[in-house]
Amino acid sequence: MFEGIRHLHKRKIGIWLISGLLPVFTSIALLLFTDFHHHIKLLLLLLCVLLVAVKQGLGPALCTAIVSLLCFNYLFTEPKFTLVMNETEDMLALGVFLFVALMIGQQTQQLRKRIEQEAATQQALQRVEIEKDREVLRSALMSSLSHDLKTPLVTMIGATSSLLELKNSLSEEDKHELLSSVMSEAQRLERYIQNLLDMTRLGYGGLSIDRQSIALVDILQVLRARVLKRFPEANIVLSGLASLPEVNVHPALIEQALYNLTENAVKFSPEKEEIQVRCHSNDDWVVIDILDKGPGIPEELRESAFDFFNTLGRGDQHHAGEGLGLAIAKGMIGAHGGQLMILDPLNSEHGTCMRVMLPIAG
Amino acid sequence: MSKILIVDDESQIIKFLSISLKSQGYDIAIAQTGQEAIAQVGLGNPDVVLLDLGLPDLDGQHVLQSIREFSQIPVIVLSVRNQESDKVKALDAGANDYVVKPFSVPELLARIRIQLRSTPISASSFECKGLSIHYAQRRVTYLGRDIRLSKKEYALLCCLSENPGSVMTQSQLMQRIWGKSHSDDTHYLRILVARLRARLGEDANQPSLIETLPGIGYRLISDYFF
Repeated sequence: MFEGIRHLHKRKIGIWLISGLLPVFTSIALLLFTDFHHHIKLLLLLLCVLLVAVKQGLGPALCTAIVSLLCFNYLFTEPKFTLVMNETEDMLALGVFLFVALMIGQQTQQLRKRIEQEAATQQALQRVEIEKDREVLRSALMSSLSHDLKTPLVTMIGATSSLLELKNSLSEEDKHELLSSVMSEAQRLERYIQNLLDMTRLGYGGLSIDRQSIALVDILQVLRARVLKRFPEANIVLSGLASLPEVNVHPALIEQALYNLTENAVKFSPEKEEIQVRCHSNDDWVVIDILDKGPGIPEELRESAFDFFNTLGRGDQHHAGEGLGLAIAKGMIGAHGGQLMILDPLNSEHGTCMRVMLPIAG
Repeated sequence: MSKILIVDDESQIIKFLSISLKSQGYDIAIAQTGQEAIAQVGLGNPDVVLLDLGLPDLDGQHVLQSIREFSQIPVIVLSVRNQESDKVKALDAGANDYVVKPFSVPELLARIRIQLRSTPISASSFECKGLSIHYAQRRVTYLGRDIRLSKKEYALLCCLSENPGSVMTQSQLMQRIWGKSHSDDTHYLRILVARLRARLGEDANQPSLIETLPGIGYRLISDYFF
């Protein structure tokens, strides 16, 4: 803080020094041009005043004006090298000079104030605008969160209340169906909450990454098994595993990211359609492409597909929990210094290619 | 048997609702989008619609308005939106009831029964829980007593009795009783409801006939409710 004050002082002294010395130097320089008329000299000094007024404000401009006046009086008016003036014409000229300098100083001061005020108003308006955006975002977030968290509960509470209250009119098969609904919705809620927790931890940068060197093949095989457990009908084909190098990553996080991407691929593909997971590597990167035969993601939506708030902005007009997975995958891969992008699939008219790139050096 | 149209886009919710309603002997129809719902009401003749507000293609409020353009079928809105403004908006647009998700199935069943057994508007008299209204004679009796009502009190009771068990919003009631000019000032309505309750000998804290839904409106508590 003291440093700051000292710095400010230095700046102020500098300003006053310049505003005082500028007319002195100008006047001394003008001594060389003896055949210049006084009017030219006064106009040049006036220019000094104007420059100082525009750059530094009223006070320094007045200082410049007075020093100019003294210099002019001392150096150029008869008798020279005194502060005495004989000619009425000189006195009049200096009077006009002082008046004009004052006007310039005052006008620029006013202009400066108006500009500052306008900037302040602009800033205030911007703040209000940002505040409004934030409010809209907050309410969208709340509505979406409450929808996503409550939707599984609707089935859990509804089905349980049926089992408790209507048990006499339910067949064994119905009871089993209701119970399995409760189970699958409880699992969905668990996944969703886990996703939210992961997301907030990533958002706050508090997720520490315990990296270890691990063969990517191992992660991919665990991934395939996990997807098949949840979607027994899914047709996942891994390729290019032979020459994959080891990567230096947090295995659970990378597995989760790849799982989110593969789960999306399965969900959006026609049933039993092949999901290809193709890998290759070069000196710097391991590349994992996940290709599906779904409807694809239009070019213009690709940027926003990873946006956490993009999903949330849709309020309750989406399936609960849908879409968060992409944002989380992007966050987890990003935390490893990797990249996630959406490409057009090669050799196919429709579908999506999700490309994950992980740095080999880690 | 009555046919119930379930409008929702969550397959698990459709599943447990279908099982629960079928076990009570109802026929089920399903619509997963707003467009489908409007088409089904137009073609399929369901008896009650259970309408979710968060549909993928159209907003439920919009679906409700579209249905009301051609049908007076009872609509129960089922939604996770629990803001007063959402409820009022749906009820004003013509929903007969509003159930906030999550809900218990027995409660939903009770509300469906009310909608299925509501007295048609054209009836010449109304009977419910000891209250009887003879529209032609403009005569009201409650628990055997003759009740004398002012013109406005009688109008209020008639409005509520037209849709027993359905919520009437404040603005719907005020429009019916006073016309458009008063539809912003709920103060008069509260006074009128209090006077009607007093005439019927009702305790406002434990009403047995007229239920208050704070900030939303009123409903006549029907026999079939729970």
